[in-house]
Amino acid sequence: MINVAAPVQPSSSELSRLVRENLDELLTYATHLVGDPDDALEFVAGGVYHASKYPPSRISVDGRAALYRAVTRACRQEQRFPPRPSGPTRFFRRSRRSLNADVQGGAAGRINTVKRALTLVAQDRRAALLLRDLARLDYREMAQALECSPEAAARLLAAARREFGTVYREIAI
Amino acid sequence: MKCSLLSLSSYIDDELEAGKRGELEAHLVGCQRCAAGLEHLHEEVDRISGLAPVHVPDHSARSLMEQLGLIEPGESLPGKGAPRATATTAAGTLPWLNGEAGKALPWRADRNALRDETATQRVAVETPMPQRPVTSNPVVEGPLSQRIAAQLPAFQTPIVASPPVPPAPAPVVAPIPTAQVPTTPPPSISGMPIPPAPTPIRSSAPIATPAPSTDRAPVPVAPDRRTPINVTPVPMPPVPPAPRPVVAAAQAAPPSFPAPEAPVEALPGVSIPPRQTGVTPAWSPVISVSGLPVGTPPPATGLEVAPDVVEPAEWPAVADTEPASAGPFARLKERWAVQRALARTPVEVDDGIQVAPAPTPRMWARRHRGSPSDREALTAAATRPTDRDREAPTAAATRPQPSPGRHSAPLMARRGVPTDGPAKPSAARERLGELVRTSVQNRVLMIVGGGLVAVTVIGLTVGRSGSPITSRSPSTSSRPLSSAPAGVAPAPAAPSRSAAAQQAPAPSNSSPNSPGASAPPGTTAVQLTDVRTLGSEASGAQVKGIRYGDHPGSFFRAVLDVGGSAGEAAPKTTIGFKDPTTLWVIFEGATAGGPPAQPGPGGAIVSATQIEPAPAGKTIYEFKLAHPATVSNQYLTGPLRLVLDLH
Repeated sequence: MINVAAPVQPSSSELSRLVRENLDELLTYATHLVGDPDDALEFVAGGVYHASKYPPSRISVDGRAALYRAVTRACRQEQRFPPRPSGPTRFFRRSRRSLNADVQGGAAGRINTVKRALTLVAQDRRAALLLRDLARLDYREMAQALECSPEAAARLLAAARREFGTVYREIAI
Repeated sequence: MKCSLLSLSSYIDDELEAGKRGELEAHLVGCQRCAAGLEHLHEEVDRISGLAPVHVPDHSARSLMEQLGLIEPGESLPGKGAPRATATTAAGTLPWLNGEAGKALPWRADRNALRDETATQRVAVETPMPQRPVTSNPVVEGPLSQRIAAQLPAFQTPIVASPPVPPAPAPVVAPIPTAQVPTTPPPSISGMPIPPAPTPIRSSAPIATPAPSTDRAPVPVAPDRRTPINVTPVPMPPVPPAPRPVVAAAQAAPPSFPAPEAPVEALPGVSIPPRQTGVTPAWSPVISVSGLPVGTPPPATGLEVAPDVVEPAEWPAVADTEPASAGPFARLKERWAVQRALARTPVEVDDGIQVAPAPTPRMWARRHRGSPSDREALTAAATRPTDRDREAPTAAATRPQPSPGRHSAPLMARRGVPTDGPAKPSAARERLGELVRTSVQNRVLMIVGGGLVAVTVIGLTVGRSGSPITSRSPSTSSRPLSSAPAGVAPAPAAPSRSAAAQQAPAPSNSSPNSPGASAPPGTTAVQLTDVRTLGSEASGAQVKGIRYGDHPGSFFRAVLDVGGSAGEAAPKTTIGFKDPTTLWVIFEGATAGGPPAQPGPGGAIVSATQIEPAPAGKTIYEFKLAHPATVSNQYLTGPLRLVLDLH
């Protein structure tokens, strides 16, 4: 099959503007999804780096949902930026420069009852909870971020709320 | 209505459609269980939304985006205003739905708009829908099943190429009678009627090619300006089980395009006009994945359109020199002439890269024969501009071209394709690679060698400390052992501290010459270890007494007070271990002032004994230690005393 529509990188200005507008929300979402602000920063960077390879149509049409999708996938698959070396050859490589950015997320890194209950919920359900109640995505955007149908996203969210409520009430006592 | 957690969850998110919302609100009045569950859900939402936010400062955001390559180092950071409205929220619905409700979802995000439209839709179902006004760029709309059904007759109908039609006049659309197109919308999942979408099928207009990639991404399709196809509607065949999500069809590529290796996949719903054999390369109807013919201006939805093919600045007027009615052989010659001319005409894409058009079939045939000239042409043809290179020159000029990768750069250098920078010699690259590889190998060798050296040093250290060959510590006296008192033969070398501790059953104990044997000590030679000698040849000294002091955690001290006529002159004193727990102190030219004092319990010295009979002129004290220890000794004056610290 002839691929006549070659992948074209999205306009950097459009993507950078979208990333800048949603960077705080993305990092907040990833922090509560993985539980650590430093890891979350690397995951967000990995997701944004992956999203920079998306065709511009996805960025312009999906908007922030495409970014949340990339970040969710990066958190799920532990895709970091810069990538961590793996394998035995990492002992013979020169260590890469780590990500040079600091975040103000001290309060988000502390563990409280809500976060403890969140960690006991499965990751896909946790992602659904955070996408809806923290990032304020609607069901269609959630579906794009979670790579499922809107109906599945709605069911996942309902189940996540029930499980989170059960766990929270058990912990709070 | 049944109690449903899914409905409650969708209700608090305002994602429930109006009808079900009303039912649920009525249900909540009488169902305490659902009311309590709704309160719980509200609490969960409040807890999650109350999680602490994370803020990224501007300088960190700039650094992050620079490292990600989103902005240049000197570029200004894009302003962070209010979150931009996405395509969904800006228009109320997704742009590809054209203001209609989704087919698969029983709810929609814009609940207010849905509520307003509900009454209108109910009325619209009962009354025939008016036809949409026909525009010059009609869009095939409606449910996917209707669109597929509308395209199936066109696919199975024999396509008849009509005479060339000037592209200027707009296609005339004749709507199909209502009896042939189902106007009653199929019920959706939730029972909400889907507004029927008019499906105008053009009788003499070009066939539009929808892109059945997904249910949510149909894009408007421009009409074919050159090959209008007459379509006669036929009875609807059975719907195929599942159309392919992505359709990519290339039709009527330029005659010079090397098509034999390029399979073209045509799927139902996509009409492919016959391959053009004319010589006019006016338009290349290559259909992109998005369903748009190449050259069509991009739609307003912002979807990306495959860029146009590169056309030379001026086409050689070979076809005008010969009449077109000269016969098939003449037309074939004419075509070959055009292809040869195109092959000789370099096309400048951008950045000054001149790329020759595709080679002719003859050139492809010569390729295997290895003609040098054709090989150069083929090399140039191999670097045909991709679709990415065919973007608008303005975009290509503003955006920096990516540098070739480390694998493709030498290849491009060998092919003579200029890159964005000066082509580096391949020999230098290879040398650099050798250096890198060599450095890695050196690093490996260094690591292995370092490990071997470390193992050797450790082995030597362990072997030395565990060796039966004893050595004299630096603090010991350099006096030859032959000067040891008679009857006491010091060992040639003293073991180290650890060795003294490890050699619990000292070999001297089992020696028949040990003082514990039946033979008197004056007649047998006793081997001492860790021997050290203090004092001088003074005589007339007397050991007055022995004092003990325990310093918990540090050492145990024994002080031997020495006095006598010698004054402050220290007698010659030899200190050594008979075994690890027996310490001997031998004074030469000194006498004992009395029996030695015994230490208290719990100290490092268990007992003190004067060895008698001792050799003439010598006084020997034996200290029994509670555990193996090392000793440090010194003479202090005023009054003179020998201090022994047992560690």
